[in-house]
Amino acid sequence: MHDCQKTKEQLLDLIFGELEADENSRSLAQIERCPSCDAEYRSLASTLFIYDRAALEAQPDESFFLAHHERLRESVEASCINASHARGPQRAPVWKRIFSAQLRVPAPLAVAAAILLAITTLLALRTPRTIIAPVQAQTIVETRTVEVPVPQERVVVKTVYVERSRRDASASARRHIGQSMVDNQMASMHPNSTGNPRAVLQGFKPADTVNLQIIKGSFPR
Amino acid sequence: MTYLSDEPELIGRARAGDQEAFCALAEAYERRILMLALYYTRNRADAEDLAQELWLKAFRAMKDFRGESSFYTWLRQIMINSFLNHRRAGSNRAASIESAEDGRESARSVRVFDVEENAHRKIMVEKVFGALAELTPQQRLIFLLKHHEGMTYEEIARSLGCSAGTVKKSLFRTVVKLREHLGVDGERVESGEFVPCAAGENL
Repeated sequence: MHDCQKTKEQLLDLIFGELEADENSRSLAQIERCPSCDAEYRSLASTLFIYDRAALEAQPDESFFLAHHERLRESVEASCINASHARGPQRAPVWKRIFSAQLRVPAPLAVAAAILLAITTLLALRTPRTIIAPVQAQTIVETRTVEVPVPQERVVVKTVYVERSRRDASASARRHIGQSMVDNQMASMHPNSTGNPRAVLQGFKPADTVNLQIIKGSFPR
Repeated sequence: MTYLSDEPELIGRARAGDQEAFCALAEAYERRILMLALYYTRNRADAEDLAQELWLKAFRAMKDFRGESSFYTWLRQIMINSFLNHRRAGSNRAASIESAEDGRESARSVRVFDVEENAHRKIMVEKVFGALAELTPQQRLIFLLKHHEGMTYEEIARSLGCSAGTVKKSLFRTVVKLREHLGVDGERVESGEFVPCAAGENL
């Protein structure tokens, strides 16, 4: 069913390419069927056609564009120069400006300030300085694993044979010495006691002892 | 659309303040911008001033160009803002491009067309520009963006901060006004004197 109003509303969309492909072909089919819509479509499209021709006629010639480009170049250049002027001359750094700054101060005030500064400096120099303990160097502990051969301990027992006669003699001598030592001890503990003669270790000689040599040490494997 | 093979490089240099690179970029698009300005202002001197102003704005704003859109899209948005903000004393002077140029023609060596050769063409141009003069700046801009730039309703609406419906209505009014001024009638159209053309298809 053809709807003139709806089709005419879509004419500009059709002319300006705003319709989808299927909608576009549908609209064109509607226009073909309706002379009124077709006339409206042609009228609008022709208006734009005439406009385009007029716009084309109004185009300036090449020299206008060239002159425009030259002016544009000059404007850009001038803009850069203006921008650099606007930034102004390069200012000296802050430290330089501080040192070169001039300040007008009355002479008495300046003298008083100088004296005060001198006194303060002297006092600061006279105050004992706190001794700062030197910072001990931090010891660096380095842990290193080293393989060391462990000495193996070995106990050697030497069997010594002694003659029975000598052994008995030495045993009785040891007993005799032991008895003497006990007697001496008792005598020293009870000096007033009577009866027992005073025993001393005078003439004591150690019995023949057997020197057992115990050898300790490492042995090569 | 114009495309420079070394455009990214030129953009990079222009962003760093290179005047030559910027001028090379401008050279690719200045003709198009100038023509839009001319159709918008309908006066060469105004168009020239407007285009220069636009390029200077673009040069100053180059460091802000992030490459999120194409260079021309970015430039076109500057152009739209410049066009809308364009105010000039006496801008409502005669709409005719030719009459506005009288007296300056020889100085600039610029010639729109030879009036003696074809008076009919002059009348047609005056009619078209007269019709454009009757439109509001926004209507004129919408028409230019649609017909010359081939932007969609949505894109125009986004650029101007209005609805797509407003754009469509404005466009319809503009075309109807142009038709009235040009005196396009059904008989002439049906006789096949005019050939319909598509949007953005400038002759």
